Amino acid sequence: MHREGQPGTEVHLSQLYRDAIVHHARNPAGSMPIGAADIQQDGYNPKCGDELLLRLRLGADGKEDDPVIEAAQVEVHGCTICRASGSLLWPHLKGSRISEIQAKIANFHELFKATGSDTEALGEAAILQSVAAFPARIDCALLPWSTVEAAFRAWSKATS
Amino acid sequence: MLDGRKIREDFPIFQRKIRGRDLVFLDTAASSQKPNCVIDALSQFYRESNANVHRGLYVLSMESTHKLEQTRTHVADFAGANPDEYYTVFVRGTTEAINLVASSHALQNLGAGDEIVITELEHHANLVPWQMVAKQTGATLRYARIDDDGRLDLDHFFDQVNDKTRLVSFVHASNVLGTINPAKEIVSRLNERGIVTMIDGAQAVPTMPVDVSDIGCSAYAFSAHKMLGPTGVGVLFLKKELADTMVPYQFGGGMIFKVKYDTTRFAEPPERFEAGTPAFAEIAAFSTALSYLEELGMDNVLQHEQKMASYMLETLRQIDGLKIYGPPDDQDRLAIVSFELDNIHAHDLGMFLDFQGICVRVGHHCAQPLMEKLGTTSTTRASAYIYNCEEDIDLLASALKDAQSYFLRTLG
Repeated sequence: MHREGQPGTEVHLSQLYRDAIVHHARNPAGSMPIGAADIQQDGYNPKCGDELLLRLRLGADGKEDDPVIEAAQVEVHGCTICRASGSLLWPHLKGSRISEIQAKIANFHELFKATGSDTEALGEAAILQSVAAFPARIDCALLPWSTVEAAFRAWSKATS
Repeated sequence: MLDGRKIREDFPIFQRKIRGRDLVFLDTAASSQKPNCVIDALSQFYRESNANVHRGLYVLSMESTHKLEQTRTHVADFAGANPDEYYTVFVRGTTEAINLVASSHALQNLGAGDEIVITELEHHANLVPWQMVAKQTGATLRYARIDDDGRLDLDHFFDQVNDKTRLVSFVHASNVLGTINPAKEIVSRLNERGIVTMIDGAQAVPTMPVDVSDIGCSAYAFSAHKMLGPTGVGVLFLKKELADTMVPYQFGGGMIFKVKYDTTRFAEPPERFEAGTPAFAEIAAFSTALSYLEELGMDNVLQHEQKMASYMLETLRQIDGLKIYGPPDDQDRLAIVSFELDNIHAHDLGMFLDFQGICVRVGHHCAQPLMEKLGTTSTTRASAYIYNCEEDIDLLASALKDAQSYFLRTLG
């Protein structure tokens, strides 16, 4: 199935559909409903039609400007990469403060840039770096993370 | 009978290897490939005739102007728009043509209580402009529905039309389902009632003989790049009596008659709607594309299209787990087939096919409401044209079966 492309640019589908990515896509974490939510955001990729529902419940520990996420639901209706990305994002949400998550999202964006990224902070989600070799699919990987970013922006605007 | 394999020899892109494989191009509904003669005409224009149009009195400018006007006449003749009845306006593409009619006619004339009718089949280009017109004027937008086979329900269509209907716009052939709509039948019934009619011919003009005067619509639009021509060129045929009442679309050079510091008198159509420098080099080369199609004969192009449609339907139908959207038979249908394969997401499938050198379109095909109506968010679409042959479809079918086993193994 795999054929050689131009020298130096050879990529294989198996680099994209790595076992761990496929495992997450098949058994996505975090799609279970969480009941009441303080933040709700729809994600959508107009290029391919991938859809996502993000719901977050905030904890009340007194830090109102930088609350902790008590519960998170990331429900993806999309391709393998988008589903896996949602599943890999989820553990970074629960129990983290908004500022911590924002730093990780910034890190995640760096994964697809030549400059590199703090892959350690991203844990298993760093496996999505292999998507960088498939430029058409980077948006699929980014959608769950950009949706969280958009949700925080909207929340911050509404509460300031 | 056209021979896709022979025609392909005129298209240099087919010498390209994709990851070591021959290119199987099944995405002409998005944009066609270009024959040598069109590429050469564009290059030759820049080498030999290049100068702005309608500006200079020197030889180059006169040649350039002559080629633009020659293409204007040529394209009207190609699509049967009688120059006594229609102006031929050059725009950037079908989208701009529809926006032009929306801005320069509908926005000026429609108001609260008026109604616009379009169909559930429309591309965003023939949907969003009318939504905007409705929003800004207070007019109501109605949709004629399609049946389960993706064909227009004509009874429902005409139920939507009433005394308040001021404008009807519809696609001649669907870019998602391949359905060909009975344009003449629809327009003649609307003309009796004095309703303005607009047709999106982006898929129809490249693939079948079209006679705009015979259809008799008020406006008809299509794009050069889907019919072997260069990018950035579109054509809008406008009925003269409608065009004469329309205000300019954009303002600037090329569309004026006389400008003073405090007032401007506009040029007559078609120039009134052609502000700024047109894509004159591309327009000149478009004429060569039209000649190429004329040489093949549009009747033959349609015959080939239907042969490919029927082979695609027959071949794809044999694949277990493949669901085809749109008309199940090859009657009044183009070789544009949208489908889903098992539970493989279209994005995953499209990438798999790319690794086999097969180009298809995946996603919503700029028709999100239609996707929703079909109960999906994205499909895979294969579309064939004059340079395709049965072998391309066989390669597609075999790759789809490979995809099934790959994703079954990988994704379960």
